[in-house]
Amino acid sequence: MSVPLAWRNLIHERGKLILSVTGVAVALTLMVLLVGFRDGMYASLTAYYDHLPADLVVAQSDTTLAGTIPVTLHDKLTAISGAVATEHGIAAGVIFTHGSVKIAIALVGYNPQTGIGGPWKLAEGRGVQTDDEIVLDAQLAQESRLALGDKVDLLGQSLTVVGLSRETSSWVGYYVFVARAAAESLLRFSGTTSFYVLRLPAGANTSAIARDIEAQIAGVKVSSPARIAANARKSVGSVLDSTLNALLLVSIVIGIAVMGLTAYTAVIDRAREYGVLKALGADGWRLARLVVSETLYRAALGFGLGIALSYVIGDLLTRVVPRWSVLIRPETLVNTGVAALVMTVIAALLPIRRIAAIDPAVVFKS
Amino acid sequence: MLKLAWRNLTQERLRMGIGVAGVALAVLLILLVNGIFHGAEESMVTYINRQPASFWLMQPGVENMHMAYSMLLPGLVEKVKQVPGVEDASGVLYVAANVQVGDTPVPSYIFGIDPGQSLGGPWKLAEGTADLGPTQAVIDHSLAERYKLKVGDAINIRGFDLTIIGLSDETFGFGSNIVFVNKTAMALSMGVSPLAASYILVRPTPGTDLNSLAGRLKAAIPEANLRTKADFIASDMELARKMGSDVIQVMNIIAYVIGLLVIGISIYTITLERMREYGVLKALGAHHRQLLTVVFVQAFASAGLGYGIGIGLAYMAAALIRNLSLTQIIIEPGGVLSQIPVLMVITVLAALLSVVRVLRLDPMLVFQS
Repeated sequence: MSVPLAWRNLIHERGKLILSVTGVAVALTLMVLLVGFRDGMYASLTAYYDHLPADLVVAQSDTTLAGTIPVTLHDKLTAISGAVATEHGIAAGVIFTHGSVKIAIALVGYNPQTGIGGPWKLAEGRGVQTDDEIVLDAQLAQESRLALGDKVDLLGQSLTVVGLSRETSSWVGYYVFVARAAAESLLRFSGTTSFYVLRLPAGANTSAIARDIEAQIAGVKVSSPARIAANARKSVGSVLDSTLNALLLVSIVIGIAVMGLTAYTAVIDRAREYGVLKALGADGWRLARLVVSETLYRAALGFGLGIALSYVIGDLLTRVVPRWSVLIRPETLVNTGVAALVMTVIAALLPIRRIAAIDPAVVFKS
Repeated sequence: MLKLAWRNLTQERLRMGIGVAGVALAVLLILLVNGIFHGAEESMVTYINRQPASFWLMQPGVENMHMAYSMLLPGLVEKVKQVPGVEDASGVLYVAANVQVGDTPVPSYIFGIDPGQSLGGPWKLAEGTADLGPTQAVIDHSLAERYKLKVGDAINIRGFDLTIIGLSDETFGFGSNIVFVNKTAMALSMGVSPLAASYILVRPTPGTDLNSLAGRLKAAIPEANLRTKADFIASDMELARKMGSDVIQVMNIIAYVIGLLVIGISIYTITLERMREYGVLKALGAHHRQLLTVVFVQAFASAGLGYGIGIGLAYMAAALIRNLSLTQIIIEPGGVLSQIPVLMVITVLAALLSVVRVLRLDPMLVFQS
């Protein structure tokens, strides 16, 4: 009985329904977007490792590819690991400046012959072929007003843009690709490289091979790309997590407060209708059920609208500023949804005492 | 009317509390985000700022230190020292790398300095010494506290185990933790000559004309980019602003939207509950202007109280964050005041919904009951 009544009660005044549902939806959207922004930040941070076609990576550390190890390890690594393909590359963080754009980038030098370690998705153009060419992230090129064929200065050298890559932006900056020889010259590497990529035969024991390499070559760490990605996330987390989580907590508390306040307002707003029901014989338990039912309807509608808004705004944000990828995980929706539901129901039950105290006779005076 | 507005507001303390708390939290969010980024900006340039070097030399095409890479060829430091007007010059190696503390990698800026060099090393020591041997390191005391490290403990940088011999001060910030190591050891680990340098710091002889010294340095070292200390700091600050401003703007917009919602909904609730009283006032001949005054006073009182409490909370949170060595955070009075105009606009917008309800109210309804 109370369900159709609750629904009719709600849709009777659509303006108020829209207002309360919007309140819940906006608060929920803000929470989902903030958590999504944090998750997206971590996901985009490891894009390069996630696309590196390697079973094992040999570098100076197991947290980043940037570093310096001897370039002469090629044959030794192949011999120890039995790799079907061994390649090396250079990676370093540098600052890209062009016009009004000034941003940190990860400069990657790869072998144009094999393409291993180079861009994995091109929006336009091609990979580099010579030492005076560069592939920029498509968004970075757009921000810098650069197109294919344009010249760009990097670390004092002029390079021609020959390709624009996709999925190569992260919240800290962009990936930019040049030929390995060009990177050696730009970064003044002499007899060193940053990392080796090993492709092992099918069924190879990667853990045993990693141990063998570390035992036989001093000063190197051997890891899978997934492990480096996990360590990179941990590294950034050690700096950002406490601060970011504090901000998230404040935001979530505010968001839940907004939802609670919206639910409370909506119930108070209908005090007169509850009075009528009381006059018609509804007891406190029945009123409480009605209030909770109405609140659940509102919360469900707000939740649905909030999810839709989160996806739309998240997608929009990612399109406008691609290095801010907003990643909305199902568990984020579940967690924020449950928190929102609990808070809205509690907030809706707060004025129950007040509704229970309404004198039914007053209702008939009007 | 002012009294009535205040009474309306304070009669339902819980609701008023929720509204005020909402605004306070939104203000807290805005001030904390801004404070953290301001702190990050400052800590990013602390190293350049605290070194007694008027000029900095770096690889051509490089004009930053933060997140940058620079490498100068060996032998340039001696060449710089020969330039008339240079009292001292020191080369430092610099690289962004993780300091491994147990299982946790901590992103850091590693500076390689020669023992005894007058420029480039830690400027303030909380404990121990900075006379770095090949397998030794100086880390910030806040980092040490955070990870329960002390002088004599070991850390690992790029696979090399190093013993902590000193704890520096003012060298820890949001993403800019500074660690000092021996330059020769660092050069070997980077595969470069111990005589190479990422940056060369130049201290002029007192009384030297800095403009003419800059000219002489540029002429003597054409293979390097020369920046004054002020230019170098400005360049890194510009980088910080360009990389962080988007994030700050988004967080601020989110906080403003939340503030708008909280004030709007709480004032709307209070207005709804007092609709009968508004009707009575209207029936007694109160003008729209007087009724609007009540609504706006309530809105501004809630916002004002929330703003004040938010500022208090922000300063307390900042002190807590600093004490826990989480990050450097700077909340400046200018930043606090700059939020007032935006908050005023938001408060007016938030009150508008209630205003519409009050203006549409039919006073006759009051007499029907």
